[in-house]
Amino acid sequence: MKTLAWLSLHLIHGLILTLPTMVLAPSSAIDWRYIWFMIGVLIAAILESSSQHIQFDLLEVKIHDPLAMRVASFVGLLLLLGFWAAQIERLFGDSPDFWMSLLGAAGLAIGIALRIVAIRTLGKSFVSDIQAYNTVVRTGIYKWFRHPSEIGLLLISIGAALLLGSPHTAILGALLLTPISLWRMRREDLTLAS
Amino acid sequence: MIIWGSRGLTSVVESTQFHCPQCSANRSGNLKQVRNFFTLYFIPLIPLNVAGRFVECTSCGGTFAEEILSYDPEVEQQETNSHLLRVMVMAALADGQMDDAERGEIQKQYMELTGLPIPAATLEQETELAHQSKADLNSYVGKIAGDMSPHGKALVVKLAFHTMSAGGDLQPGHQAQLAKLSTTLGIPQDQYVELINHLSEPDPDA
Repeated sequence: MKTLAWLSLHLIHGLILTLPTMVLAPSSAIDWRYIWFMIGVLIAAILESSSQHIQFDLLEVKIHDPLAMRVASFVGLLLLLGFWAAQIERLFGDSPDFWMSLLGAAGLAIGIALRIVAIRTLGKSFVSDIQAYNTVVRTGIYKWFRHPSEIGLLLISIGAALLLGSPHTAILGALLLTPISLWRMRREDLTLAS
Repeated sequence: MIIWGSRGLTSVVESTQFHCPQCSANRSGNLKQVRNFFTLYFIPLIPLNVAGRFVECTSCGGTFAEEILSYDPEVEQQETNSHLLRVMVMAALADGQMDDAERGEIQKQYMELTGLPIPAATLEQETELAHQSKADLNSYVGKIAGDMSPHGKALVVKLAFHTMSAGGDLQPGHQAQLAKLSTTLGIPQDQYVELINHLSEPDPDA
């Protein structure tokens, strides 16, 4: 039953993710880029879903930084709109360059890997809220990166757009998401320093 | 988690008046509920469990357990006064009877505690009830001592001691009940002895 619910939720995610393509694209226009784009984003979601716990306790769902949560909501929406925009650009834009798609695939893969390693290293402490724990994590990937999940998210959004051959969406995504990510990184650093 | 996750969303269930312990006054507050949602791209899609409910004071912003809504300080004060009166009555009856000196001491201490006189009929009624219940001081205190603060425990000892010693020296029945009170209240023996010594000293204001 749990597995069925889990699969259903991923199916719903797949349908939401590929909505523009399903509505607008003729089946002949769907090539390997779409398939890898969809597989990449779904893998990111599947790995996220298998790496986290659902917060059932009132103490755990307490929000420490409401502004950070509002920004995370905005980033989530921006990411979905970015995925949709990339699919639309792919449909109506120029024919994509193979090397751009390859670069995008690499970015997407590295982004997924960074986020998953960050989630697994932090465990329950991996949250969208910004809060200070008793100790700063300096193990695993955090020995080399201070903000692997933020960098991973940027790479996922830009890489997915490039993989589809949608450079304008990739540039717009980078321009919108980079300042937000930098703001979150700085806020996290200040919270940890305090 | 940005792509796939869960998060709690807080909603106001109802707005209500309650006694805010932080403001020490009646205030308006919101009963709030936190419900977990399954999220995709941080957008809440499917409602999951209710993580909990709490009351938030609109004046001071303090948050309290939902049970605070049924808390009435006046009712609690009346209950406390009633408990303390019974402690004094039980203490007086530890030697089997209540004399005039003990009766006077109870009335005096009740007045000091509550600012209200205790009608003679009420005192007689409490005495009769204590006789009928066949409970002694320690068995009664044992029932109410659970949630008592250290200050409350010391107050019980003080009231019992002053009531018992109102007529002069402590009777054997008084002494037996007083000796057991430290165990009943969970007060360490050395602290208890010090407290009794302190209470035995003559009142400089008297």
